[in-house]
Amino acid sequence: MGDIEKTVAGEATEGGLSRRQFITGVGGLGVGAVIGGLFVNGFALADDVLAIPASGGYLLIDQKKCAGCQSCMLACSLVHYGRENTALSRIQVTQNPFGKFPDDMVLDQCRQCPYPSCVDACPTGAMHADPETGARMVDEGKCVGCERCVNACPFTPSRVQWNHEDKHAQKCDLCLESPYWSRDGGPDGTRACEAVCPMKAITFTKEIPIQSDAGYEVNLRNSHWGHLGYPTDNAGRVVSTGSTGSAASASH
Amino acid sequence: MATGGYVGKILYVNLTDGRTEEIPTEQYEQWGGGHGMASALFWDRVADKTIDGFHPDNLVTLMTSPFSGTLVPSASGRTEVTGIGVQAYPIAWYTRSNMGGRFSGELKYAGFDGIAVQGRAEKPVWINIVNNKVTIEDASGIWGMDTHASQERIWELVGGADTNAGDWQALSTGRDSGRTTQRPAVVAIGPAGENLNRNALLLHDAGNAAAQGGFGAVFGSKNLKAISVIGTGSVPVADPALLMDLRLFLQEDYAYDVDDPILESPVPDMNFYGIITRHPGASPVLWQGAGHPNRPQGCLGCFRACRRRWNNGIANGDACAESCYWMASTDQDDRMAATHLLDQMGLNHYDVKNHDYLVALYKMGILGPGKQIESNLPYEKYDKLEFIQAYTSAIANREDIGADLADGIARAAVKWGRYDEDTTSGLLKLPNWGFSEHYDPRVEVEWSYGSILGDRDINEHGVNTHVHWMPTVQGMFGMAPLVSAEELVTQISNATGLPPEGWDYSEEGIYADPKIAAVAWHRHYSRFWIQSMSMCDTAWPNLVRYAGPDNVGATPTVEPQFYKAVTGKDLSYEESLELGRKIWNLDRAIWILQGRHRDLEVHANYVYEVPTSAPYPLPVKENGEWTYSTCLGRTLDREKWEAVKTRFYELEGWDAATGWPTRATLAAMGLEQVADELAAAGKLGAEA
Amino acid sequence: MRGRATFGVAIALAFSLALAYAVRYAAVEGSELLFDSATWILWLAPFAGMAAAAATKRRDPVVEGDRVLRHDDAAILEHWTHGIGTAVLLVSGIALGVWFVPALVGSGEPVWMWMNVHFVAAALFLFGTFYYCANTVLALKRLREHLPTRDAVDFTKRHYGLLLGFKKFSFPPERKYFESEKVAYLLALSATALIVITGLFKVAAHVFDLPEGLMGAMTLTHDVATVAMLFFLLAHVFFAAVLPASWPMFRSMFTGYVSLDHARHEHAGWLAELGFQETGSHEKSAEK
Repeated sequence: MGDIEKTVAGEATEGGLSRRQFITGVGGLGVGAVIGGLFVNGFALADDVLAIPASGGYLLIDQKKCAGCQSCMLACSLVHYGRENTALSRIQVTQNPFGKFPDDMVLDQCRQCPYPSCVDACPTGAMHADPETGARMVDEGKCVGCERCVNACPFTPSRVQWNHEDKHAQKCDLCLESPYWSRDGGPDGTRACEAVCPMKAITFTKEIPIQSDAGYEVNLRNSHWGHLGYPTDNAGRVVSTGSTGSAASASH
Repeated sequence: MATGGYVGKILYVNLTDGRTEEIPTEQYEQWGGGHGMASALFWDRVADKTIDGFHPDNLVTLMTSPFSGTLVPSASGRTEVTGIGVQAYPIAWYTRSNMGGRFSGELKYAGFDGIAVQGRAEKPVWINIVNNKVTIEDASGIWGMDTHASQERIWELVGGADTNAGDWQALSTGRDSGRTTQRPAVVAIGPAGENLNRNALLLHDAGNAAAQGGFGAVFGSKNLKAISVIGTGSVPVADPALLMDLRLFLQEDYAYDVDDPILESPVPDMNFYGIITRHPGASPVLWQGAGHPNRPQGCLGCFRACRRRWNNGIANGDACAESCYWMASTDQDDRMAATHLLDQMGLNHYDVKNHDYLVALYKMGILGPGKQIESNLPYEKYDKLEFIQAYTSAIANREDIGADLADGIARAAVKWGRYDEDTTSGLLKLPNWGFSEHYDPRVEVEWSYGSILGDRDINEHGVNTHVHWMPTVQGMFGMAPLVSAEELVTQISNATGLPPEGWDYSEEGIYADPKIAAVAWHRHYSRFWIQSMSMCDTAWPNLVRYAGPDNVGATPTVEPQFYKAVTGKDLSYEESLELGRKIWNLDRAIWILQGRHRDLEVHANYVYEVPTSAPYPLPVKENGEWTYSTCLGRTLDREKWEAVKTRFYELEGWDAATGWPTRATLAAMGLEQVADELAAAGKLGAEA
Repeated sequence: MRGRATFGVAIALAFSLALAYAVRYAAVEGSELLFDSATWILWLAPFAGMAAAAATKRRDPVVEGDRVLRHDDAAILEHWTHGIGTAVLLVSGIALGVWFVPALVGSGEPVWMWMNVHFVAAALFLFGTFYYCANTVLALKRLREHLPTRDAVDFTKRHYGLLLGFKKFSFPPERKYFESEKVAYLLALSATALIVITGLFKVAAHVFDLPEGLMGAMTLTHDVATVAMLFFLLAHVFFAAVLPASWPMFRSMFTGYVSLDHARHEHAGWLAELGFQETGSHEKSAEK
């Protein structure tokens, strides 16, 4: 057995650093730095939730106006992924065809929580709040598939979905990244679900809505709605036939 | 080759030996989808086309289209059903039905463009489709349940006890197996189907039914209780941005604006006016919201939402004619309960609604306890819920007079020896193939000609909404028609590409060549766009726009645009009509093998012998002027009808002597082997 | 030998205990992924490997009577830490699913458990890989002996042609590593390099806010390199452990020695480099 250091070319010359010395130094310093850094803990990801900006806007849905056609779900997956799949929609409508109005249907949109548990839960910063618009959204390239965001959402069903085809988490980004239509999305643009809803049951606000366990409820049913024989009261209990409607006449 | 719309395979299930097969959709892509593919599959897989609908070799299909499960408006949720029917009289033709809801979308998400079922199971079964996994399950626990209860039970069996939680459910183990919040989409038969009632239907969710043809009984004869499907896959779209833009354009320019409508019902809570406005929830035409809090309810991807869902959960989703099932009562709750029971029993109201005929016979002393036609139902309480419930159940269970009515009103009337007399006097209005009268066959001929030349009551409202309902509804509210007759026919003419005279319903017009061309157009358009591309009859074709800056409809511009956006393929409007004609000819060949001949294509006697006696608005051209006529005092003329048939056959390239397609006609459409099979049966049309 | 066995058992035990802890920890309510709570271990491991190399005294191959020292203790340690680490990384990585293959495990705890297993294996792998790298830097001839020479095609053709039964070939004077193995080494080297670089970026992403485009590229490269590594591993295990002709060599990865007979036949070129001369025969080779 020989000291290899002396048998190889390129060994340290006088005054210089031998390879072994170099490696010893790097190794030792590295070990020290890591252990030392443990105590400093200064470069952690800013997961301090107080630093997360509020969302640029919130979807409000009138659950009593919804017709359950799921056009919102079809629009969502279409504008985001260019294909149709209700399992990949970031807004969900669940309903019981045999149910009793208004308890036959639930609309499950992301509430863009002021204190988003999903962002807090993400280990890689994939789930984050967009600095410009505040939309809580996923950087798909950074998602490692742990689904802690899916678990963290306090609502049922989780407003974060696991995209099983493209292998990343996803959630409502207010259409900020929706390449497959000709309109611009985001809080200052148009949201696809809102645009496509034939009942105009989805609207958008930039002010934080009043919270309740039931969701961001809003009454979007005006007198024209009542004119069709639907309830316009908040609870959806009263159908008044006394509402005024414009008299139809030959318009041409 | 399409680059979108299709998901690649059609599921074939043989219930006799339990085997399943995946047929590449590509093999049938030239037929478009829906009915076209279904007829081609039927042609290929049913060797003996003369078999009875109850025969195990009968092939029933439930087909989607490339538009199913996508945002194409009012084209996403419908499922086309085909096979040899058991309803029509005297011959139960190879026929079609369809249903709304969400079954077709869910089938696409599971990875299938359609299902074809053949054979007969030894014991009651249901087919369970979870994404790509297909199993045939024992249905002994649900046989006997009504259509609603059996669906709810299947939801539990497929999804586990927490199905109603509205939470994400994984369809398999594995993080990437796909999850959904949705319940399975189920189509089921009720007691009527199990009892092989010729008017048994397939029911899906609450009020979506494939009701014509007796497919509920066909399922029952196969011991097939239900088919359930749930999926988490994607439907590819060739040009997604174009699809989204087209959808928004159509919605913004052609749909009813619920917040600020341009054209609104003159009377509040009046669904009937919705026939014109197409406002949400209009289709239960005589039901009102007052006292019945409710929401509109729409099929998958629809931009109309024509149905309603009610606060008591009764008659959810029921629409149009089935909501008019029992008009004897003035109590809406009772009427809704009656329709609800009809759904649960799984019965086609369009035949069993002839209780008014039975009551007439009762009043005539012919029917009742101890009468010539024995029946102990409480006819004296005709306007009470008790009657209609007893009546509906009796038919579903083959009890009392239900034993006769299980074969349909036509065959029952034959059995009672009353068919000829009553269809001649018009007491029993069955104008074509034993189907109840839908629109007046004596005057609205695109309907009556189309029905007798086909397999069933056509039930295609695209022209009817404008030529008949618009002036009628306006008149009901004491208002003039929204547009003049001339303007109306001009718009329809522009939209269809046919001369305005094709929409002339006068005494002369209904026998003239433009009318014959219009009837042919209607067959071809509907076979392709409505029945093969699953576009809903309540929205398509879009021939006239009443609420907007002009009256111009979206047809025929948008249909090919949607086709291109979804499938990536170019198909001109003219080419689409050609494809419709090809499908129509394939169906024609099947009927001919079943025994069709021009001599059979004759309406019931009353059509030719009893004049119309109630106003029936239609546009007519008289003395060179277009007006709306009430068409009173009119019948169809037998000889002129025969002449129409002759010229219709000639137009279609069929032998005028028989009504059979010729080899030249079939060959020009690539249907040589169809010509061969007709020739082998001695039923090929002679060349002119 | 006893010392090596004890040392080996100790490391294996430590590794197993770490895996067991990783698995159990995933089930603890509210626990973080080890990639988050113990990220420092993955930065420590490479440096620990380097430090260990600095402290290692190597033994060169030498003939000792009727056997030849092939792998010294350092070689055995670096091989098994890198190898077992790779194997467990592959199993856990595949269970978690690469971008083009679905995950085998269900959501939630199973995923977190396998991520923790991946973490522990990564620590072992990083230690072993950097231990090897540093050792190699300290003795570059150990790198050179792993690289293919211009005899690669000829030797491989003769070696495996003979193995497959073509008697016209004569067994070539292979050196310490077969030429075919040295070609495979290039695959292992590049795959390892890519996996380490992209893997460390992915670890860093748990702490630093890195651009999305970069991370997307890192994960994709990581997955592709993983597949390459899988192919290498499967081929390596087959040729080095499953093939009966290789069993003596497999044993040497534990004992360090092959028999002289084996070396004569399989590694004639290597013996020549070691300056071995047959007594009574005239095998003389130039010293290398």
